[in-house]
Parts: sequence; C-alpha cells; structure tokens
Amino acid sequence: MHERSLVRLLLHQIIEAALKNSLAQGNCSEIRVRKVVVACGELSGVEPELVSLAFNEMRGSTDHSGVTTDQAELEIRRQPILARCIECGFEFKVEDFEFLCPTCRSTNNQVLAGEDFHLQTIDIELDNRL
Amino acid sequence: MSQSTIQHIEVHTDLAEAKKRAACEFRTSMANQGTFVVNLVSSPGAGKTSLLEATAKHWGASHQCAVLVGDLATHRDADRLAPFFPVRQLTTGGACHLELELVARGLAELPQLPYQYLFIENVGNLVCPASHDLGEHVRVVLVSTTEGDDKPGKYPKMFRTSQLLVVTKTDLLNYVPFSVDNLVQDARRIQGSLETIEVCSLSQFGISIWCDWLTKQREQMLQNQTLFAERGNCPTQLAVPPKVTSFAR
Ligand SMILES: Nc1nc2c(ncn2[C@@H]2O[C@H](COP(=O)(O)OP(=O)(O)OP(=O)(O)O)[C@@H](O)[C@H]2O)c(=O)[nH]1
Ligand SMILES: [Mg+2]
Ligand SMILES: [Zn+2]
Repeated sequence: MHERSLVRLLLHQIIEAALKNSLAQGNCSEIRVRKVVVACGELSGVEPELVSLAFNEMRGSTDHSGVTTDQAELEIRRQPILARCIECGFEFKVEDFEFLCPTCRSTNNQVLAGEDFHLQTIDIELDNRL
Repeated sequence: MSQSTIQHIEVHTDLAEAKKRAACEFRTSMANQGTFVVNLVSSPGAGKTSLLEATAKHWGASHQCAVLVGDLATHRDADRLAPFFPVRQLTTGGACHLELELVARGLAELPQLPYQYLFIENVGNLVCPASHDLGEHVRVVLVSTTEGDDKPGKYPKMFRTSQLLVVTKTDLLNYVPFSVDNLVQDARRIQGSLETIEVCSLSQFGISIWCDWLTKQREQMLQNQTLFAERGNCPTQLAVPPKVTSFAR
C-alpha cells in the first residue's frame, strides 16, 4: 500500500498521544518516545517490512513541540485474519486467504479482525526536575 | 538534579478511523439522496469504460447517471464517456488509486442533479484500490477473459471486498485458455457471497442482466438504507481513554 503516508500519520498520532498524556500530568519537559507497538492486520494491505523501513527513515522528522521520536523503536505485531462463520457461529483464523469454515465448510463469514492497522502502545521517557 | 520516568501508554487507535468515518458519511448521504454509488475496479484494460458505454447504450436516457473516472493521466476515458454521461476525469497524477477527497471534489464539479447512479471508474490496479473505501454502495470487480482465471487468489483483498464479479470479453473465450468456473471457484474461496455476471460489452451480451442487477441493488438501498450504510465497517465504538502506567527509571 502506501507505507510512507501511513508512517507520517503514525508519527502524528504518536506525538499527539504523547502530548495529550504529558499535558494531563502538567509536564512540560522534553518527551522522548522510546518504543512504539503497532498491530498490522494481514488483510490491511500494509506490508510490515516496508512500514519498518519507512519508520526508521522518517522517525525524528516530525520532532517539534517537545516530543522526539528519533530514538523510537518500532515493534510490528502481525494480526492474523479472524472470521466468524455466519452459518454455525464458529470463529476461526483464516490461513492463506481461504475464508472457509473448518467446522461446517461454509464460505459465508464475517471478518472480525485483521483488516486494520492500529497504534497500540507507546513508551515515553520524561525528565522530571526534582 | 533530574530523574527520568518511563510511561507506558495504551493508545489503541485505528489509523484509518477518520477515513472510514468520512466514507461512511458519504455513503449515507448519497443513499439519502437516492444516489447508488458503484466503484468499478479491475486491472488496466479489463473493460471498465467499455462496460459503462454498453450500460449507457442499454439504458439510453431513461436513467440519471454520472461518471467519475480515475486515471494517472489524460482525459481519454472521460472523452469516451462524455457523449453518454455527465463525466469528470479525476487525474491522480501518479497515484495508483482514487481517494474519497478526489471523488467528492469531482462530484462537486458535476451538474447538481439528483443522480440515480454514480459510477466511479477506479484506476486500473487490483492492489491499492482494494484498501480505499470511496463511500461506494457496491464494489464491482471486473476480470477479462484475456488476463487468466487465476487472479482472485493472487489479489485476495480486492475480491474479498467486492460484491459482484463481472467477467468481461466473453467473445474471446474460444481463443484463450480461461475457465469461468475456475475463476468463480477461486473467488468464492475468498468471498463466498460474491455474485457473478458474464458480459461482452462489444455485443451487449449480458448487459441487460448487469443493468437489472444494478436496478435491484438500488431498490434494496432505497428500501433499507442501513443495509448498505454498514458496508466498509464504520467505526462505531467510542474511543477508550488511554491507560497509563508509569515507573521511575
Ligand atoms: N473483444 C472484446 N474487447 C473488449 C471488450 N470490452 C472491451 N474491450 C476492449 O478492451 C480494451 C480495453 O477496454 P477499456 O474499456 O478501455 O478498459 P478499461 O478497464 O476502461 O481500461 P483502463 O481504464 O485503461 O484501465 C479496449 O480496446 C476495448 O475495446 C469485449 O467485450 N470484447
Ligand atoms: Mg477506462
Ligand atoms: Zn461454520
């Protein structure tokens, strides 16, 4: 898909989440983002390797407003496709894009997970003056 | 002296949430106006523009339709369709798919009629358009008999996200090794409820079936708008406030 524009959006969301959190705590010192965990669905159309490359190249590029991402480490967790069978209700993992219920062999199903790209968690480091 | 703290923040946001919401709003607003939106996707040259030409010939002036057509460059497809429909060419300038912003801008440039159908001819590409919800009510994927019957398994997302498969150029079936059955079987492993129509746009074969299908789908939309509003999984849950855990370093 379009990993660079996705990473731009990701960096924006990371900074927003870090700022929102530190504002809530009345903190105004520098915030360093240390770790970022994302979940990449197998049906999201996003290629994890390309995201990883783009992230390493683009991190730090949006550094302003006291949040730095140039040291951030990205962990990408692959989210398998999960579907629910409409006929028998069984929930199953979709392998090789074969959307077939292993219990009743029906092909009528609904995707429950694996379509999206989520920002899950961030670890930030703050300097607290004592 | 200074001490640093590490905080672990649970964010859990879907990066596409804003786009999903915009697409769902567009879909709902078009349904409220009675406009049925059709997103036509295929590899380059599968016959999207030809299908629209054949549709226009079949319907004549009896239906209010408009077309937005996406290509990287040129106005060729818009020129072909201009004798039949109000049409705007959307040139993506290198991008391999259409986005909703471009569609909305193109629609605003069309004469303001209440259209019964808005056809969006996407850029010829079976990859990226699969990941972009244009606020359509149905996604129609075309496969021509000259491109091989093995395409669904290779481009699963496109077939998973489509509701109708149109097999085009059936006049060439005698000249190419292509099995409609194999194609449909392959596609239904991915999308069990995918419907299929075979057409030859040059001879109008199958075009009345295609047009009847469109009419029926639009009627369903008019009767039950929520049926289509839920398409494209609209974000409904409220955002959960982030959970934070801190520990000194
Ligand atoms: N034999 C045959 N040729 C067809 C048929 N439909 C379309 N074609 C030809 O296939 C070629 C491509 O058709 P188009 O309608 O331009 O395809 P398209 O999908 O709009 O192409 P792009 O917009 O460039 O992706 C043209 O030369 C058409 O004349 C058909 O039913 N039979
Ligand atoms: Mg065309
Ligand atoms: Zn089942």
